[in-house]
Amino acid sequence: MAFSPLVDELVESLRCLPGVGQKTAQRMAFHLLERGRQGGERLAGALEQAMSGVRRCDSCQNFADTELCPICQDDSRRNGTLCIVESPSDLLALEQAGDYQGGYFVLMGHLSPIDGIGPEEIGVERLLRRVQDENVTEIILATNPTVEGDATAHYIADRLADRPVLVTRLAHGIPVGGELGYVDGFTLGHAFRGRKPLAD
Amino acid sequence: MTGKVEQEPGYVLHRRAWRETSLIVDLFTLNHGRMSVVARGANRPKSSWKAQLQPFQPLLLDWQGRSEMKTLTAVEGRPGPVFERTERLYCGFYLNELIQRLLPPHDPAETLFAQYIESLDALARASDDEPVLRRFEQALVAALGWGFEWDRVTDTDSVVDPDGNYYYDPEQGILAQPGEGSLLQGLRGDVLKQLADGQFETPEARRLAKRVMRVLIDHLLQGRPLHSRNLFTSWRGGANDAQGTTGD
Repeated sequence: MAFSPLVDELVESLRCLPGVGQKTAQRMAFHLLERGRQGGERLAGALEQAMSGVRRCDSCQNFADTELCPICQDDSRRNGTLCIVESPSDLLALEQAGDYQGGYFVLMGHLSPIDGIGPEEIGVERLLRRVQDENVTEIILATNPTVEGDATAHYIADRLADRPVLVTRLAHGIPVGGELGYVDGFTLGHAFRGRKPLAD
Repeated sequence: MTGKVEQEPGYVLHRRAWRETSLIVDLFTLNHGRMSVVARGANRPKSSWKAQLQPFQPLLLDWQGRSEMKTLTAVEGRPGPVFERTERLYCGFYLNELIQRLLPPHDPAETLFAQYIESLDALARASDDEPVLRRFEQALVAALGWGFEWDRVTDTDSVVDPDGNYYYDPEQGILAQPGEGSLLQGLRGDVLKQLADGQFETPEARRLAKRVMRVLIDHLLQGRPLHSRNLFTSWRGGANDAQGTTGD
């Protein structure tokens, strides 16, 4: 290529990011070199530290710097409930919603036989051990409302069937502030099947 | 020539993310067999296609494009069968994985498509899933050109004798004499007769059909794994047996 080997290497390396092609990678590289040297150095340092320092939490499988992630270190969150999510971004969304005060287990995926992802890949045995060891009383299945998410939720629920654990699943339905007329039939169907008595 | 197709009946077999906001969707369609389309923008957070492009939902699809990979332009769907029980969902995965691994792309298979619809429906409703799976497997191997008749003995070119005992070799079919590669033996003639009559319900018929179909499908897979089968086994092994699953 037309640039020095160092610049070429930088452009090529940036392309490993999702959604970054040749052009975008060039733009990023030139920006860092022309106007953002400080930011670039910080990025390089952060990348290096994160790549060697970030691991999976021994307890919940989420990304962590130490053996346990901050949530698993927090004793007040070991209250007997465990929320099962597919990804760290799902965990983040629940944390930001702020309603939930228990622990988590991050599957880092979902069951998908066609992709070759089975129970081992998402850490089901580790989850079952944790349920036993920590005397978990409620499992909240917060997998995505997709066919694979359903399959994952059912698998985990069935594996817990013989244990004294309450297994619940997040409701799926109509978004707050939404209008029925604009909700797709699939979501409406779920909402309908999951209807609840107006008790109090 | 834009290669425009409209209102094609089809089902989603599998989806995977493509670039930032799109999906590549593998489909099983009535007139175009197994094929893939790009669903542009379907991976955006608010795309309505996301809800529709799920496995097991009957869809009507429009696409266009000249290259091998078509671009999806419209999706209409209605909610499909609801699998109340876990194993039925896994049976559905099994059907999808079989099609994905074994059916060659762009090869229309109308009979198999009809059988697929019927099978999904039966999995949602019927009390017994095993005959559903066997009938689908039979339609699949027939679509692949590996169909055979349960009561036809190939080496003697005769009809199965109810009192006889037979062998099975995926390359040759039902045999009276052990061939070189005969993988199964001791197949009872009366049970083969039952299967020829479409009766998959008795315990003997179940077991025999399962053994034969497994050997044939493994032969067609040529060593490639079938993950949904492993998932089923692991689920059945791990969950308590009180769930009332299909026996071996």
